[in-house]
Amino acid sequence: MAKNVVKGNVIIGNNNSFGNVSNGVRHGNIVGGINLDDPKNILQKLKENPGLKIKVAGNHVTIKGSYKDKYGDICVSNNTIVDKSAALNCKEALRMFEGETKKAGGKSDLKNRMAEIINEDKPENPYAEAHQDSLKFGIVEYKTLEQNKKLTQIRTIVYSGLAVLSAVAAGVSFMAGHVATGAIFGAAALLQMAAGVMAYRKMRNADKEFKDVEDRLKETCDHYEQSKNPEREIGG
Amino acid sequence: MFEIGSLLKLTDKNEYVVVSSAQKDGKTYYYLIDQNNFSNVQFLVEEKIENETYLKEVEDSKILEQIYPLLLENGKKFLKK
Repeated sequence: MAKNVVKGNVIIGNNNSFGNVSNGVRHGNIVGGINLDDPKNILQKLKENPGLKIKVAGNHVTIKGSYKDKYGDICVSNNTIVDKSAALNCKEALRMFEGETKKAGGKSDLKNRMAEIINEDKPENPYAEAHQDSLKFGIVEYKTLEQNKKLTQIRTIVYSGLAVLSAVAAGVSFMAGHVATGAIFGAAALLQMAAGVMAYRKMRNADKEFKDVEDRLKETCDHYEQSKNPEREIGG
Repeated sequence: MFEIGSLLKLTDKNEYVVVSSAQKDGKTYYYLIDQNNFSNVQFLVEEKIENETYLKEVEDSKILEQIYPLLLENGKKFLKK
């Protein structure tokens, strides 16, 4: 356990600039009782405890209040050892908090609290700001192919993943030649994967014109759905 | 190096299938798909920090373009086994 971590603090990550987090605090080391898996839960805690302080990857938001010392902080750093989902959940909770505060129209206590939010965008650690999008993942568990008991499912995901990558990256040749064989496991799954790959490429500014790819994917997936009808012959 | 078809549980609490991997310029790249959420895909590069292995998102779009064909080729080899 890191020094200076007291009961009530919720700290995830490894950000020495915050002052009370050392290398001893790693992903998932939740000291307090806040469920970071659910933005609504975090939002509720924000409402209940105006003293909570949330730090998310260089953005430091404090909701001031008399309970600050009692309830401590939430610190989520997504630039080092990462709990990406927790960081995103905290950001989502802050967004919801802000939305509710704005809806309050300046007459409620929430409005007053919002006025007290201090957004210290200047990071204590410039490295954190520069690298906040450089997500690193630690490895919690590794199962080899042999250890997997769902080999067919895994192979299907690999197959479909490659088909989608082929479609998004270089046209639909790989996919189009195989999709009607029924080797893939559903149009919806394929489209989800395609959306994921496309979103990733967009995020990395690698996006080209996707409309054509998307149309062809849908067309191919429709073709696949039709192929599941045994009374209908589909060429492959 | 994590083999194609293996399962990785990462610190974001998701379980990913290693769809493919590729070596380029001495680095190992991975294409992962969340087995419970197919829209969650990751293109990651392996890093060693103090003897611990981490996977970091590939940020450079040019590298992404370069590794796509390698990932496809290696994935196909796996499926032919």
